[in-house]
Amino acid sequence: MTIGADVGMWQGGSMANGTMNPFKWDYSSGKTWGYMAGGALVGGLSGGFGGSIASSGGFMANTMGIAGASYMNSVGMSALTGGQTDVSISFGFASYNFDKGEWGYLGKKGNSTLENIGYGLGALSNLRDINEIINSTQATLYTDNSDFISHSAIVDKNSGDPLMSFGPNDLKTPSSKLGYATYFRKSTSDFHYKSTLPVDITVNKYAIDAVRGLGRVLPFQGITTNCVNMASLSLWLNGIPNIGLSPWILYGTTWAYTMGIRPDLFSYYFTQYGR
Amino acid sequence: MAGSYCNKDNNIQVVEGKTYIYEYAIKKPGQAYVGFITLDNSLIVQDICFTINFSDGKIKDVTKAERIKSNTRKYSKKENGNIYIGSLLCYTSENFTCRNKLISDDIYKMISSDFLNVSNKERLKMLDSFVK
Repeated sequence: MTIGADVGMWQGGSMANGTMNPFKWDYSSGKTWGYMAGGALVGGLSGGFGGSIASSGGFMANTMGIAGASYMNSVGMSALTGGQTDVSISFGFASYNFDKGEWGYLGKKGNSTLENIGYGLGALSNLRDINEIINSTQATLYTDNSDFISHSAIVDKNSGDPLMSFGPNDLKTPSSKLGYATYFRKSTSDFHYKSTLPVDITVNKYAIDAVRGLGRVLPFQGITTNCVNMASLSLWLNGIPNIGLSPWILYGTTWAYTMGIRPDLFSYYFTQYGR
Repeated sequence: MAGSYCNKDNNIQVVEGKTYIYEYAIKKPGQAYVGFITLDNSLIVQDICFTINFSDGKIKDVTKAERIKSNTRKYSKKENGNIYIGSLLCYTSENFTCRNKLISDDIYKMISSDFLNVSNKERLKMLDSFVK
């Protein structure tokens, strides 16, 4: 709800001033403040509404959450601006504009970059829903908290067996961090993990198996094909957006996702206002 | 958290049953993981993994974590007596010396010059003696 209110305030200010850059807004105008307050209200309510649907865990909950939030948001903003904005509904990878009677979707000719980013993020929510229907497995992302190098592993919550814990599998012994980073080594997807910094997630084993298949042909190298990249890819294929630059950043972004800080649920802002 | 590991400080309780040893390749410089699985009545009754930190040919410190028991863990037995848990190969006392090496013998010799010549239960006790 807080994120929705913040984005809504920015959205309202943008509409009042015709530019997304808040440094160019006319803060002496009552219209700016009125639209910002109205936008915060609409954004907060619609974001909270969408978030509550998505977190309910029901059938296609994430897609329904986006649909509910986007429709409520566009109706609210249309009312706030006296019909200057269109009423639309987003379904993640696609949207429908009621005023123009027009469908928009990922990769449609004429889309702006922002629109495609929005539809792409929305598609992740669709993917997440499909994954939960086809094969849902309770898992935990563990991050080794003992040092900077760390280690990321996605583990079956019930058995404790690694689903994706990419690491080396040969006798080469790195004597320095440079050696760790640069040696090409045989790999395994079942490397040792430490049960620290747990983040509970739901994953689809088919998506994980696809990455394990990749792990069978890729070598391990500390700086490129490493534990965090493979865990990150597994999560992306499960519809969980994340940043897999280091185990620590992967932990932070995945934790944020599970706490509801989810850019995919606000993807409709990009598709509605990214033209 | 049926299958996760928890850190242990107390001395190890060696349980009844046949003990197997496993190792992981060395990922981080100066750190090796070696573990022990004990089977009793076809059930995995103990799984202890040691983290061995070393430098300049000497053991710096050793920590251990015990995996909480889970009845869902399965294993398969090979003709030579070794077992597989998933893709993790666990060796009998005798087979460990002719293993597919992921950790060099030199590191085991830092623990004890006899490490490669004794049984898995004794190897477990040797490593446990380093845990503070």
